[in-house]
Amino acid sequence: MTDITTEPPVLDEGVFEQIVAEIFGVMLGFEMFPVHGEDKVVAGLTSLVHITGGRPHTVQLSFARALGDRVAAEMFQMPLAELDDEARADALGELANVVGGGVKALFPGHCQLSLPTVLLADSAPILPGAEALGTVVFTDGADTVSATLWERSDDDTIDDARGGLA
Amino acid sequence: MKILVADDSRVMRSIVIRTLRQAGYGDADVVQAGDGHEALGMIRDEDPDLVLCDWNMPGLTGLELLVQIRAGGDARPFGFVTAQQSPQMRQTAIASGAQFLIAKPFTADDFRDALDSVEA
Repeated sequence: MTDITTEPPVLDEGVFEQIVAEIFGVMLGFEMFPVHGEDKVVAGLTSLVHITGGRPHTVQLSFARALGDRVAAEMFQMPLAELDDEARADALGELANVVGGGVKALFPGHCQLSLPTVLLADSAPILPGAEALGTVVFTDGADTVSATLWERSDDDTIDDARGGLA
Repeated sequence: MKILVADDSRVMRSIVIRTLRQAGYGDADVVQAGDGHEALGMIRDEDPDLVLCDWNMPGLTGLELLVQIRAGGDARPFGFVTAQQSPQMRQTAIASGAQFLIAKPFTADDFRDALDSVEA
């Protein structure tokens, strides 16, 4: 007989979408809506956070540049014109951090959350040996952001439990 | 009331301070630290009545900061504001001497409940 108390939680795309939707709902000052049937990773501004330990995963948020800027400006409550790269990286990294925390909360046992990594160029991150478990897309009505949950085969690609890609 | 907000994210410090205002703590004197080492110095120099601290910071983590000040006999109220929201983290925080842990994302009600319980 299976002891269900030791079974890992089911973390499917629907659960991941709920986590992202709740965090966007609380942290952003404007509404974001899921776009179903769309699973393309958005090109633009990307923030990543890694879960290390027993269940190595990575959360990737990729924003269309205009939406990333609006999100960062809203989080800082500053005019768009005053936004700089440091503020972009800080805000979008923090959003990935909170989504990563929401995912990590579903994992039993000892896991750690890395510091966020942010890519401000239109380049996709490379996560060797990682498998995308799902991508969910949200829009504010004008632009889109994708959230992808990766399961990594091991922690070898992560150079520090508290941050950074190797 | 003086509150030290310690977080390596400038945007999160800004959100925490806005949420403090929404929670009814707009009159508090808020000072900020960008990492654990800076927070340690500000606890000594600014003597805050309450520390609101991120868990995961480069250099000295929030937990290491808490352990260090408690080892030195500092009993001032200390709460975590963190994305690290597992039951194990909460247990570790409380066992190490934290009064509360507020999980990100948070609301003004979360702050009011936590801070009012410390003030009571």
